[in-house]
Amino acid sequence: MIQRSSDSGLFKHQGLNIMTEALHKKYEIGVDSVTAVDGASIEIRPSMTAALVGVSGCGKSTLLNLLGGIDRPDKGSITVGGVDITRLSERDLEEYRLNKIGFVFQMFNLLPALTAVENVKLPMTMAGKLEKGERHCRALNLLQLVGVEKRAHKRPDELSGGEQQRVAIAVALANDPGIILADEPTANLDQANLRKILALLIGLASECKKTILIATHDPRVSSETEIVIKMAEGRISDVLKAENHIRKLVSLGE
Amino acid sequence: MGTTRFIHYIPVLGRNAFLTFFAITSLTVWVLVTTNVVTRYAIKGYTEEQLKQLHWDAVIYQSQDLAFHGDVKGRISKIKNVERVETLGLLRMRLTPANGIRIGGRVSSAPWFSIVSSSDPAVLPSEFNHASPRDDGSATLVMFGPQSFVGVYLDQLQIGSELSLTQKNPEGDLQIFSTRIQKVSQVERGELVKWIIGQVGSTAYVPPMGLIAVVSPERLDAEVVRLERAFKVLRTGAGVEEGGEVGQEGPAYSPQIIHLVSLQRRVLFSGWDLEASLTRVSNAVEEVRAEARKVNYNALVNSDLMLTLEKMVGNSEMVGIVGLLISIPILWMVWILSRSLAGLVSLNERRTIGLMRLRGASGSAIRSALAFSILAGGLAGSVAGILLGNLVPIFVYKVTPAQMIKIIEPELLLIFAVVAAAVAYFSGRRVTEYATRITPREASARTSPSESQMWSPAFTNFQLLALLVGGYKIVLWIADYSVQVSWLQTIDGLLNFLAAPLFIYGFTSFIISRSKTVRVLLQGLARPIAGRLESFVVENLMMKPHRVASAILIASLMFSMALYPKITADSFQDKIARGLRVNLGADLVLTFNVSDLPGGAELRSNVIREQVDKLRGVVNETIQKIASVGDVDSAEPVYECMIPGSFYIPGQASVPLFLLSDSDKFLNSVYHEPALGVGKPFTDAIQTLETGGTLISKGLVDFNRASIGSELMLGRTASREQVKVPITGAIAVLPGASRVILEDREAFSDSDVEFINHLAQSNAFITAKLDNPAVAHLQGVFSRVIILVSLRNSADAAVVLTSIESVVRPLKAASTSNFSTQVKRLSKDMFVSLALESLKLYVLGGILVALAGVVAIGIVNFLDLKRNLALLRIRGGSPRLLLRAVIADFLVPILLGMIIGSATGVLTGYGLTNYIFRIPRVLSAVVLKVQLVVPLLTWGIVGFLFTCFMLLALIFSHWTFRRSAREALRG
Ligand SMILES: Nc1ncnc2c1ncn2[C@@H]1O[C@H](COP(=O)(O)OP(=O)(O)OP(=O)(O)O)[C@@H](O)[C@H]1O
Ligand SMILES: [Mg+2]
Repeated sequence: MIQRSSDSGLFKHQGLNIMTEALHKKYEIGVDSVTAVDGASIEIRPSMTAALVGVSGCGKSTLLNLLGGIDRPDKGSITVGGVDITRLSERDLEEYRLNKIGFVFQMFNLLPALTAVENVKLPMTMAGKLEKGERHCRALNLLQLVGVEKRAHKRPDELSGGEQQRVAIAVALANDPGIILADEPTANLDQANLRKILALLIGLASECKKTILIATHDPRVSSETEIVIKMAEGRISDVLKAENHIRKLVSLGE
Repeated sequence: MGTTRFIHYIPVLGRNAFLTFFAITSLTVWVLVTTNVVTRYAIKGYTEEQLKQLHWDAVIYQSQDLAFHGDVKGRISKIKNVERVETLGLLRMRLTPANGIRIGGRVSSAPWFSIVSSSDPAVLPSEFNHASPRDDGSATLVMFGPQSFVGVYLDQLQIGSELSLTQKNPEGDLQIFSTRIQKVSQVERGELVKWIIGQVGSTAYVPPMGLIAVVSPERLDAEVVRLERAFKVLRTGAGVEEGGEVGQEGPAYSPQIIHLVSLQRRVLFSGWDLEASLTRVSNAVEEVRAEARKVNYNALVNSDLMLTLEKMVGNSEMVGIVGLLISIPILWMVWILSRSLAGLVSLNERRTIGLMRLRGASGSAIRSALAFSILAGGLAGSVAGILLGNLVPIFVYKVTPAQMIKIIEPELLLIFAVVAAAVAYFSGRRVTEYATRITPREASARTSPSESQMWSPAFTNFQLLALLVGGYKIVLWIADYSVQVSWLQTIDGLLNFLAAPLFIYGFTSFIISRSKTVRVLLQGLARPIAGRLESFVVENLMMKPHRVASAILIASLMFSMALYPKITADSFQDKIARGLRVNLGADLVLTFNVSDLPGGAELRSNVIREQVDKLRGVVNETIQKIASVGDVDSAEPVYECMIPGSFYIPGQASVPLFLLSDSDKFLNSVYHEPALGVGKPFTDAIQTLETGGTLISKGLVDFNRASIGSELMLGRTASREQVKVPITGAIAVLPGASRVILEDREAFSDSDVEFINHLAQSNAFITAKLDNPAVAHLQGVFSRVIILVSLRNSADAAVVLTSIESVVRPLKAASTSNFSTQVKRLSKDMFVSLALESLKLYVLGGILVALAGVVAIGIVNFLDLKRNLALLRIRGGSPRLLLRAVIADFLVPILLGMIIGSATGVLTGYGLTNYIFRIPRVLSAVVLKVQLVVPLLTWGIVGFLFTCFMLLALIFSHWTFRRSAREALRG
């Protein structure tokens, strides 16, 4: 059902190398302050899939936001494809988000007013790269890639959770980004849908050389990725090969 | 179930609902109260203004038992609330050569003679005044009529000469009246007519020429008795008719004593309460009538005060209805606004309601709490609205609170409060129903409630009816047509005020019901604003059709209401000014009496050519002198010649023949419009004069006195041969030659306007070329030469006039008028200013409501849009792009409304002006076409409102971008 993404010719951009050094992010709420990311240093190479795991509140989402250019760190650097994005201007950061990053959230990925295909087209329209006809074609192809082409003209509220999530991935892929950042993309999916989406993301890494980082609590996800990055209290506590991670989980009896 | 438990929910749930509905009802009631008071104030001002122009409150006409007129006066003055009574005697006689007047022994040809006296000399025109206050039985002799008539007496009369009226009888002359002349003066016939109308309030027949002897009241008392007896003798002998019919030959005596009564207006009249004033005045007038009839059963009593009040009571009812009609669109907007606000409340309280439902609160308790808050807010709002509504009158019009209670009846306030409460209740139901319908899961869900899945508004029969009725009126406006069936006319008249909102409602609903059309329109408007996010904006708007419809409706109502009063006012003013221009004919007009021109007084011949030969030289010389003055562009004469004969208009002894010396030059010098020509453009009509044609006036055509294409029997030559000329056209007005000048309109009270209208309509005149051979031998008397002067641009007419006066000296114009000063006197028409006064307020209130409505819709939309924008921001949308999306989302429906509303507003303005002119008040202006005037201010208003919306849109979008992308997503 899901075709091989490398065959489609939809993706030309290679994945990008992500490297962070001593990242810090602190939230101030009144007098209180929470250090959400506390000196995290990681490296993820192109065509790699990585799972970001850790207890709730350990800073996974915050780290993803920093990597995705949605938020700025207080300290440290983030080098993506050789460019330190912490030094980018607001304008360049928008450009970065638009063209280099594909974001997938757990929910609310799609604009309710637009149909699936219109949702996929919108990032392309905003980037203003392709001709109108080409955009439409590409959007349909992407939807085909994620297996929801039959639902192309439905609005989000007419789609199931799994379908919505797959459309969201198509949206994330619209501008052929080098990096996909997904924040708990599978939390409310059943086994079958989870498999499909996971296969899609891993296929994108192996066949299209994209860099994939997924924040997740689900061992079924982390067991499929190449590496697993463990976080605790804002720090990177461990980076494991996936099989080692599984072994550990098993030995801990989780 | 815990019936009282809802009380505990009120503090949690009720605050927003209370405040929102407080705002809605106070706004509604405020608008209703204020507009009501201001309308009444305007009517009060207008009525007071009208009453100021009335000299006397009641007039008693006594034409029999004149000897007892003192008795009538005595009885009337004793009536309560009668302030003053004065007596005016008018003893009119038509004379024949047999009972002619002798002045200083010579027989005069005066066809009319009248003895006039007043108990208060101030009542009489200043020309009537005695030289000395001492009564020695002598009289002031006043002459009126054409110069050729008056001139004769000026030669004969000397102070101290005897005037006597005698009847030749076989058995010796019978002296009817005789007096010594103590003073001689002359008065314009027009002035005389004006004076009679001014004092008495109705028109009286004033012959074209005649003599008046003004005597003391004591002398009048004596003459009344003597003349009565004398004419009785005559009647038995020679067949004199009583109050002889106009136009018939033979002597006649028509005496009249007029009692002029002033009532105590301060006691009887209050501008705030016209109806009660009318009742009091009617009672007083009835008493006057009863007393008068005790002496003279046939006495007629007229009260202009009562008539004016009756008319004003009618007017105020009319204005009240119009006010009601105009407030409908405002209430409509209030309704839409309150629905939007209700939506806002629902949206805001959704999570709270959801949580409470999750925790087990019952739907009905929540509904009760909300309903209670809404009701409380509505009641408090009504009270606040009433208080606010009183502020404007108290502070602006200095009405005391005690008066206010009289002005606005409690019943009315109750109605207002009920209306406001109804608005609050029905729109509030949306919130309460929503609160009970919503499931806990729905309430806690993140996605917005499914307001409407698809584009759904239907086009109902009601909306179709609104569209048809409104559209019908607008088509008629454009076609400049109105219904002639009388019972339909009332409805049709009311429609003038309702057509705009009906049409807007119907049209908007129609457009909105067609999703494809809406999409195309929205796309067209969104593209330039939203840029790349066009489809996002359009789809977003398409998701919420009801809100878009509300925004379009509110905006179009607002724009049309903001525009049409000003357009109406200016189009009206424009037409009046053009009417004035046509009447005056040129920038500067000098009128010379022929008798004042050198040789003019000695014109002994009655043949036109001979007179022209004498006059032309002087006139041309004068024209050249005038033309030589700097800033004078051109000067052109119009000769007025009176042709005897009462064939044209009954009662008029002559008809004016206007002679132009050169039609092209004339056309170049005067202001004219094509519509002045009947059947063909004015210019074409005038040009037919070159080929020997004549033009008749519209009055002659209307009275079937002559028709185009036929021959006109113009008059006779000295040898009694008929002079016939071909009629080549008809014109409504000959610019510059009008004898009825528009400027008089304001000075006259209402009945005068009708009188002048009558004159204007029956206005009989003929126009021909000066050198037309057909008229060369015609008999007639030249009376005036009118010189029409057109000035170079920006020349000051007053300055030029001074120079002209100095170059033409010793000649002196009998009258001069210039456009720039006349147009200033042409203050705003009272009727229109009254209507506009109240319209202005509605406009203000309407705009206020509309702005509030638009803001409310904007806020609701924005709250909905916020998360979408955040998502777009995360996906890499730039603030600029998103800003454009926000602006587009807000502005596009308003733009659509603005287009519909402005177009309708302009048409309504035009249509209303046409409607106002159907109330035929404005004389020669009536024949002109209404030209649409869209003043600069209109565009100013549009621009201002537009700027307001832009600012609002910017404020909305500012909220979004205060936060970073991440924060936006969370919020
Ligand atoms: N906007 C914010 N303001 C203040 N504190 C925040 C904010 N966002 C996150 N935090 C805090 O930062 C810490 C890290 O939050 P983050 O959302 O990154 O955790 P997470 O690992 O994604 O958790 P989860 O697995 O539950 O999603 C938490 O302690 C959280 O309370
Ligand atoms: Mg998280």
